[in-house]
Amino acid sequence: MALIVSLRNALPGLEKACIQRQIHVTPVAAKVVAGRYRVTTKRDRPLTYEMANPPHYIAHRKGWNSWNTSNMTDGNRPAETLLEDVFIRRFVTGTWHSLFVSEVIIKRQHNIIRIAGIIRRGIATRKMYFLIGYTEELLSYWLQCPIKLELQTVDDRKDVIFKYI
Amino acid sequence: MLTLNGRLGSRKVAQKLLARLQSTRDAANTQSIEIPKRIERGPTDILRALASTVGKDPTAAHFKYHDDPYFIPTSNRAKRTYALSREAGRRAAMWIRQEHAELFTQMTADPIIKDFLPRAVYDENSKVTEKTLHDAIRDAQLSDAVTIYRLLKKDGVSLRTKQDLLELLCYYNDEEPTSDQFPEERWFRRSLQNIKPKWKSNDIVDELFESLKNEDSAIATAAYNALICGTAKYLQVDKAWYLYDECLAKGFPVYVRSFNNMLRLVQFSKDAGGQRLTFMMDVLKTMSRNNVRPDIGTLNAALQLSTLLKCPEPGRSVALSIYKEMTNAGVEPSLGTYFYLLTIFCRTNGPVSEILIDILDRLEGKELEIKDPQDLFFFVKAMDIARNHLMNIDVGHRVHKLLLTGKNYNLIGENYMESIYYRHYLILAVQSESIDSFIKLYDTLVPNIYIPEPDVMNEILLAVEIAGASMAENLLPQLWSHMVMFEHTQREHLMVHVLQIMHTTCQPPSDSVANTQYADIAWDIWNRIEGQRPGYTMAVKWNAEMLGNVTVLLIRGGYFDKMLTVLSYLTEKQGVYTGILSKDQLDTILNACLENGHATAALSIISYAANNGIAGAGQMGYKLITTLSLDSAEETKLVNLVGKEVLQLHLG
Repeated sequence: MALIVSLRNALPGLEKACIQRQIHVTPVAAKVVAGRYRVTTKRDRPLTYEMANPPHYIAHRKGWNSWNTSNMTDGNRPAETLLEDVFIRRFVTGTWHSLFVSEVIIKRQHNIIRIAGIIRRGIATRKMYFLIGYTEELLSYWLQCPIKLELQTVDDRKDVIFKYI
Repeated sequence: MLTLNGRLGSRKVAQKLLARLQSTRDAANTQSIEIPKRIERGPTDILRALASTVGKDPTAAHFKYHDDPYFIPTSNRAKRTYALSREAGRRAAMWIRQEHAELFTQMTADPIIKDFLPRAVYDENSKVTEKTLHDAIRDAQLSDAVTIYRLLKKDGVSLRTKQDLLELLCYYNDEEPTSDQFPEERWFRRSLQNIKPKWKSNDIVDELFESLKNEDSAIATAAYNALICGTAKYLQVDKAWYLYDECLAKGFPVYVRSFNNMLRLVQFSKDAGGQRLTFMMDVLKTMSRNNVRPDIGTLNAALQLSTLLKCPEPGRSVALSIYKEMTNAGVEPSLGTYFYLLTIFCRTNGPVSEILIDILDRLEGKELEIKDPQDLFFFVKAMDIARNHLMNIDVGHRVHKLLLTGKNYNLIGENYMESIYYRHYLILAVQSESIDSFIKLYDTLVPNIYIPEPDVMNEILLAVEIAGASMAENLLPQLWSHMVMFEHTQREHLMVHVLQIMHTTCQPPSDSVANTQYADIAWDIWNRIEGQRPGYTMAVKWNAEMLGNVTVLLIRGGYFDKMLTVLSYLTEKQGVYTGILSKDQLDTILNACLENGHATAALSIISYAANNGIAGAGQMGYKLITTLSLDSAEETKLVNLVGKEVLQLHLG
């Protein structure tokens, strides 16, 4: 009997606790981490200018990596454009193995795709010309439009380092 | 607003306005507005209009090269390698597309662009129709067309398609045409290596011809003409003549292009000039009997034959009569015609003819078009004649101006001819113009449009040498950096020439800054020759004159330490180079050693002079012993070299 009484006394508390537990009350962890780089203890992580500026600086301090009008109202082929860009980036970084020291910038104008970037002078010029011809031709077979490469060279990987964090 | 009111209010303005209104009304009454007729525009006209606003930029490399310092070629070899490498890359991509054709199936383009897709492969099991054959013929896919034809044969092919296939095979002679997708390979091919074409007998050609020649006359005519053209083009002389005679005997009309091809054959069937002439006249008379009007091909073929005749007579008179007759018949001469006229009239051992000036008078300011394959030889020939025959720079400038008019630059032909053209032009200019105006021309053409060959560079150096020391001071450093860039540093005669100019012919005054610059160049030459790969067959070899010049130049520039390096080579490796230094050079070196108090170097010079029997070793020894204080070992060495008596004689 005493147990029942004590239970009756305890129940409202229990009930209350149950209701309270249903609400999550830990502090909100809405930390934005995309496109940002963590500071290392030795402060020796090299960043290019593009990497040093977080995404909210796009159109303020830096530009886009893909230039097209697919995502505007009534834009053409948004999904295809995205996938093609991923394909182009993978193809280019693979073909120009460890030569690209910047992001691969893809600009679309009408039916032309221009691929720009900064490369390291790692191999002989004639070999680079071979790769230019190969990349342009093969990508234009794949995407069925004229492709142009717009490359600039730097002597060393360190030439594009903006800062160390 | 106030001012506006004020203005309107003023009487003058009102009058003006009224006058203007009246004039507009009068104009409207008297003339009706004429709306111009619509001009039909092609799809690329706007692009052409835009392109016409952009001129040639001599300060930039050709647009086929990437615009980046690393990618811009600096020598003829690099230009060739880079452009061809890029096309090799494109070829590799094409090969991959063809090898893995099953992967390239996506069709993003709408409408589908056939050039992006892999080429269809035909074998015995392919399903083909006459349309496929027709398409293959249209795209000039020779081997495919033959395969498809073999497949279709049992079902029967229409006469029209058979004729088309015959024409295709006759035109390309059983060889796949080189694709127009590789412009660089065509641009950089060596035209002198052209192999004489040879007719390849093909059973399909015979089969097609046999089946067509017995059809009605229109079809037989076309078949005969196609085969005549093919066999004549590929120099199957006997067969071509046989077909030609047969065609005439059967009374089928012979087309003008068949006649032209026959004319080009005349030189191969007869050897002597007179026989050729009568033979050619026969063909031309047959043409006129059959009422065939000559065209530009006829004119050029006939002129080509007259280049083989004796010059000046009868070559000149035959050429003139042909030219006159044909132009009277309404044939418009092309550049190729002028090329042949120049060949006939301007022989190296013949009398001088100014026909080129008349041609230029006629052509100047005109935009020319290619009408005959020989047209591409005109500009090279014209510049050659301006240089070697007329030796007149004004004519050279006029030819160049004509080349730059409109789109005439397309008529330069290929890379090989372009460089010959500029070689003639620059050598002509450097030989006949003042150095200032030549350098202006040089700066516009070099290095982006043309890179001079070593021979041209030698001519330029000669002109600089003649222009004198002060001009050489300005130009030589620039020319040297160009020579390094153009990979001329492995040419011995150029190295010798540069050293000679700096050392002897254009010696700068002793207070000039040029001494340091020249010393830098000399040191560069030394390092380049020393740094050559051992065993390299084309390696530049030292001789005493060059070494002496380098040494003296280093002394004049104040590089004593560097000079010592060269000096030790001079004295220690005497068997390696040829010749000996002159007395003057030895004196200069000795004086420099004495000024810098370097007794060892001075001793080595004296020993060099004594060993090579150069007079005055004793005098040099005396000079050394009086200027510097020597230790006992050095003194003994000196005495051993020149003898005690000589020194004491001088001392006494």
